[in-house]
Amino acid sequence: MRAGIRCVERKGLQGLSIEDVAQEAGVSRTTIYRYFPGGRAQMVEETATWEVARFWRRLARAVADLPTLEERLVRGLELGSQIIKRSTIMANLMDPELNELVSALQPAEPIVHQVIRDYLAELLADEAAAGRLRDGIDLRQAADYLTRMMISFLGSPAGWDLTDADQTRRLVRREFLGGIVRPTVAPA
Amino acid sequence: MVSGGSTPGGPIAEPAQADAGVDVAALMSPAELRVADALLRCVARWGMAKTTVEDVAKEAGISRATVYRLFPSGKDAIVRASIQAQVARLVAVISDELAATSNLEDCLVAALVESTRFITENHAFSYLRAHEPESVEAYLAFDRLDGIFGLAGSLVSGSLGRFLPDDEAYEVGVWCARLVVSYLILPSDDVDLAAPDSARAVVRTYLLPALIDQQAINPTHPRPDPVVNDGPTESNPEEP
Repeated sequence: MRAGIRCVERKGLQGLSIEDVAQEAGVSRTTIYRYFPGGRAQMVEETATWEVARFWRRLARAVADLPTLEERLVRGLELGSQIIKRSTIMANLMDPELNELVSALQPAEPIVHQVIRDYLAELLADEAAAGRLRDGIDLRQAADYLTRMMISFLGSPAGWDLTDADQTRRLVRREFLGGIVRPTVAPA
Repeated sequence: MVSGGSTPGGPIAEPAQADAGVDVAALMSPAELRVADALLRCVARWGMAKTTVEDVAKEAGISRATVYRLFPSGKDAIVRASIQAQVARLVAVISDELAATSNLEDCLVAALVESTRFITENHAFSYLRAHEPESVEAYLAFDRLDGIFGLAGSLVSGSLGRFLPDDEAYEVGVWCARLVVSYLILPSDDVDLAAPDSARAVVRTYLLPALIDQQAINPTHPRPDPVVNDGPTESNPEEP
């Protein structure tokens, strides 16, 4: 898989072939087919999914020591958008390749969503225990909402510069947590 | 909302969406629009993967060369134009509904419900969702969506502007578009934005409190493009 990623970084997704990856990894084509009996399509799908999982694990690790959900979301958005901006794979993607990548990722999407949701539900439970949530918040539903927002913003920031800490904090306080977390200053 | 022309499950006549003129015409030329609409008809018939530029040209009744002159990069560009045209039509179709609302909550609920319904009733969309879900996502992915969100936000901000300052209306419009797309891509067991009650619960839980309390939450108010912020706090009392 690492060899596959290096090949994609160099030549783009469309140029990816089993031969290249075998050469890069220093193994035979037969070996590659043993790992990926479905051939190139399976290799692309599994490699892409693996990369996505690695991306989210990296975010979770980076925010693990931060004290509040707000801090974690802000840092996660910042770091996530930096990683995506820097990613040579994403930057070099042409239209047809983007189509292929999205198709490859699609089967894993509900699972990714679920894993992030469960993670956020735990964080929300901590916030609730600390008395920081508004009354009547359903943890599972709120976690689902936050998951959608997180995925949506990392994919399509639509004008927000998430590498800017002030903007991101404002965004998180408002669109992410505005209805979930109690206002820190009581409304007049 | 597709003005009587298309009954769901009926023959695949192109949705006879009355073009509220201005909006779509401002986005592209009549020839481009003709090609964009021809693509939607082809997709509604046999899907995205099997639709070629040749098919689209034939359906539009113009030559392949002309299609490529209008859209040099081919099919992907035509798809983007089709989506833009549909977003503009969507906003034109729902703007009456939005104008009929008398408060922010109702306006947001109407925006979520009506746009979700408009999109799910579209023949091209429903074909793709049933048969080629991956191609729906491909065109709603990453930076492609930024443009759609921006367009939706600016088109809908007129209606929301009755209740919010302009730049905020734009932001909230994008926020709504984001939610609509998210629930279309990955439907939820708990939330159905096409159902008014469900959409209202989302608006009340996640949107309104943030809009009403924002002064209190964030007095310094850093934002991309600074706004003139007048009053000390909104007068709306917090919902219990």
